[in-house]
Amino acid sequence: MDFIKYITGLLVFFLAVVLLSCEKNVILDLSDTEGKYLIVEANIDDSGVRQEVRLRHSTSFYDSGKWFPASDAVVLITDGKKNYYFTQKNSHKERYYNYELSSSLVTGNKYYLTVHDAGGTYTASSTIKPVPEIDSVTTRVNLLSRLGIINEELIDIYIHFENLPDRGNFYLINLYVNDDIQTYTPSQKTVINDTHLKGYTSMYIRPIRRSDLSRGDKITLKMRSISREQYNFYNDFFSQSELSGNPFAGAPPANIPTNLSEGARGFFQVSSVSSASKIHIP
Amino acid sequence: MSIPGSINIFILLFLPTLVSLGQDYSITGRVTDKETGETLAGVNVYEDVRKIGVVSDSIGHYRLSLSTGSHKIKFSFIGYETQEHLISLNDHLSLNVQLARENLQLEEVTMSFDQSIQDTQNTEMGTISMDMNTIRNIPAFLGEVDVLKTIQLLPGVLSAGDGNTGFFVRGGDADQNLILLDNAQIYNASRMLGLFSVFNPDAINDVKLYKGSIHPSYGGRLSSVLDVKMKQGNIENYKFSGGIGLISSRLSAEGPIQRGKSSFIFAGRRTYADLFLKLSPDENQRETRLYFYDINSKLTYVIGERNHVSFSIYHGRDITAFRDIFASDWGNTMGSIRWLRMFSGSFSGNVSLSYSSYGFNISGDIEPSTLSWQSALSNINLQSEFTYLPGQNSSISFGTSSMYHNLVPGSLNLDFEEATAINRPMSPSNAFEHGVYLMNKQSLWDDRLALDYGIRMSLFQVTGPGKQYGFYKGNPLQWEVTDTLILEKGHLYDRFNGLEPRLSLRVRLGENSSVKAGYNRMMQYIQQTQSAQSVVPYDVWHISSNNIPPQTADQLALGYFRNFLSNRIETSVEIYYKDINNISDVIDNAEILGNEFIESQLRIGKGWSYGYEFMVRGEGDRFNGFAGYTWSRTRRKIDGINEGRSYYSPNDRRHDFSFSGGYLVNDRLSMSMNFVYSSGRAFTFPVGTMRYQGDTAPIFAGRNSGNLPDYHRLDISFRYSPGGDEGTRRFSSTWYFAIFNVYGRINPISVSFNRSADYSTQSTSFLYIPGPLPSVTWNFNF
Repeated sequence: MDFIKYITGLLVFFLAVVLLSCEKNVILDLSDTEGKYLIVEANIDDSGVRQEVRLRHSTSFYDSGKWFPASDAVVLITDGKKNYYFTQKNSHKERYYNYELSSSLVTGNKYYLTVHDAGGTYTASSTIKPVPEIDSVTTRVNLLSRLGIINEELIDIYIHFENLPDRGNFYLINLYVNDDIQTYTPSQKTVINDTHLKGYTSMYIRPIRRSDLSRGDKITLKMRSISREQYNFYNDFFSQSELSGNPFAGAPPANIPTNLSEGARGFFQVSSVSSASKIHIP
Repeated sequence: MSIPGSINIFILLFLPTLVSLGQDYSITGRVTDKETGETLAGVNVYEDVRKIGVVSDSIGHYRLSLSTGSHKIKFSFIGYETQEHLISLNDHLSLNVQLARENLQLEEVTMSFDQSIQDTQNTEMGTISMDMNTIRNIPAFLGEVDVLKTIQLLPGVLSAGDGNTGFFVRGGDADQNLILLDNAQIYNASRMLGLFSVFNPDAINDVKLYKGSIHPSYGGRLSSVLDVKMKQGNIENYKFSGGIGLISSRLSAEGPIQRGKSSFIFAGRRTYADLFLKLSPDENQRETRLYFYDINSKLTYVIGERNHVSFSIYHGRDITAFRDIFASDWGNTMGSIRWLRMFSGSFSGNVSLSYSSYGFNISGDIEPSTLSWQSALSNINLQSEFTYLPGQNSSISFGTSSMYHNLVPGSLNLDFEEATAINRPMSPSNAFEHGVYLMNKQSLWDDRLALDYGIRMSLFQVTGPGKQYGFYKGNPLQWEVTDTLILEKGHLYDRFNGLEPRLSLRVRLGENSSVKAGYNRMMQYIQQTQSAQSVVPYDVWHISSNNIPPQTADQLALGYFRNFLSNRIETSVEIYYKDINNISDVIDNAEILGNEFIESQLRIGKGWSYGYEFMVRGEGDRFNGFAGYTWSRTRRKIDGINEGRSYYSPNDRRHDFSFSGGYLVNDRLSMSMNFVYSSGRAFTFPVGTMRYQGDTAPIFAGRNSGNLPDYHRLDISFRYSPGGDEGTRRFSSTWYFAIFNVYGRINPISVSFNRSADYSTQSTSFLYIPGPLPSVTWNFNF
């Protein structure tokens, strides 16, 4: 989450109190575009063997609990020299896997995604950017917990790294505990624009409940290089999913941007990854 | 039109005026309040047979030219008893008049706008004056009487919603309204997120709203002018008044400094919420500060018959804080000094110097990081206005203004304990805005035709210190910064200018009806970036630049005015078309706050608005009221927004109806009500949902392609004066009971799109102010 939104969040708390307002759930008469849009989730990196692309179709707004996998699609990523096809797992109709691509990714190269689905062809491209090595991961008890303002005890996680010499880089940070991801959803992830950061950067990432940690647990941060467009994608995902319609927040409601063609939604990104861990000792 | 060409045309237009000098005798004088001695501006002074009239100026002076013979002269003003004077004119005449207030109880239910005779006889259209008695009489939200909420009831003026003092005039945005308090520009007129405005009813004398027929002395905004004047203070006697309400209290004092020559007024308000929070058993609530205060003051000196000097100040602040962790404050400060002089019976003028600022500050200290952010807007304006009355058929006015703008969008500092700091200073913007104008009011053919024609020339000059950015605009969805120009202090850079012709004409069809037409061109050089759905304290303004050119609006209007039953019922219908060039809107997912490249988030295009407005007002012995209906449409077409297709402005409402009425039950009790209805505003709705990484987010249709539910609301109020007629008592008090939204209609302030805790489903909810909301206020004066 961008720190501007952090400020906005603080303000909204106070302003909402002032406004004496109430909230009521309503059902609106909305147009329905069920199944109209292809949703592409293609985040490829050089850290693991298995790479995954997920394909779904959109649902109507109020029926969003139902999901429609795009199960008969053809998924291909190429670097211009070699094609890497993704094959579908029968048990997970929305998931397509490839086991060769990861080891052949080269920083600085551009990769192209093509998806054929239901008579349509959707494309996107992405270039791998470098990522700095993480120096260390540290923790401390959350201030609000110490003051008793919130009842549960939270542990704040910090990252420390030497930034790359050139500014204009964008990173995405995920938190893992014992290799289980704690920040799976977009609004849980941390995205960074290094334009205004110093060379050596120490940054708060997010809190974790002390009750969710045991002595000896491994706390890991993984940092991925992303494009400016995907940085915007995550920030706007946060805005539209968390703040959309908030009378005090930001711009009017709008679609989350995408780098996919032909009206498909979602994002295609190829990244480099670095990581560091800390063993939790209370 | 070239400037020399336009000057030639104006010389030709003014020539008939100049050759008509000195044909008649003049009656000159000053109009004052009989009780307080305050000078009265805007008094209608007219000859009763031919209906030839003038309006007293800002220091109460008038000059009426008539031919030799007997005449009946009437002096009428809202809230005052009309006076008649029979005169025999065979030489120039001086006539000072003291007007007495009307019966106070009746006055309390009188919803007076400009005098009826003026509606059909003057050239103004789309212009409404109100005094504070009218505003006090209209049921108020939580009993807090407010100027801005009252004008939202008028036709052609749309409300931004409940709990919001923002208003939209004839399709314009909120930043296109020039809001003046004693000549000083007010940037953000909302206090406490729209529960209040900066206008304390105890300190305000009168209000005038221009939707059309905008005098060329006004400039810098496209859609309207709201000119608010503070009271001068009682020049004869000391007077104290105040009120205790549910959420705030007021106190004001006024009186003579030197009886008959100088006066003062001081008024203050403060809210209570923080005082109640201190009683809370919860330590966190006790440590929360949340209040608003403001003060108004004005000193007035009358120096002889010819000079009048006033000094006005306003300061208001909203404060929020939580323990030592978080604090924020924002508010306005203004000051103005004005010198008015009657050089002769036919020539008067005034010079004013004003300062206005708006600031927003936030600070946080959440260990181990701290943050601070300060933003400020300010201007200094030197203005002169002169009026020359060459004869009975014309009035020439001219003047100048020079304003210096200083916009500091903010300096954001975020510091971490461990050696990392984010310092995001955003460069300030500075500019000069100059204006010069000339105007003539002229009546022809025995006043059957009246013309107001004038022109304003405006010049905007960017200066340093600051920065200007160049952008690569090849991708209309995302502009990339390509170069930065450092603007040095004392140097001048981009310059913009324009001619703004203003024309109004009235054709009298009889004593009780007239047809009017008008054309205005307005230019706007500083703009506010519209983003949030509601009032927010963090205004983001920007100046015209190499990337964002000034906006221009051309408005055509035509109206028919007719009065019935000896002017007790007044009706009017006006149609208008407004065309706006270079209107700006934010791109999808725009980043507004803390973005030093704010221009990259805006796109420029065309806007247009059209509609008609109908108004009827009636005045009886015990009942007064008005009703207004507006049908309008407002659209925009901007490359880079909504895929370049035209779309409805967020201020679009097809239907807007309001009724407000007051009834005097007896000399102790009166009641009022208002009912408002408008089509739901244009809004962007979702048409589907996307699932991504275990989360869901809405998929939206085109911008503003849907409408929120219709808005409607009924408010009622009762005013009870235990002592009866206040005019006969030294101490008097009034109880004011009001119910806002009597039948509890849910009118959304905003629509939120929410997803379930497990991220699997989406839902929608309205944020709204609940109703009915009763309130009680006790007002007193002595």
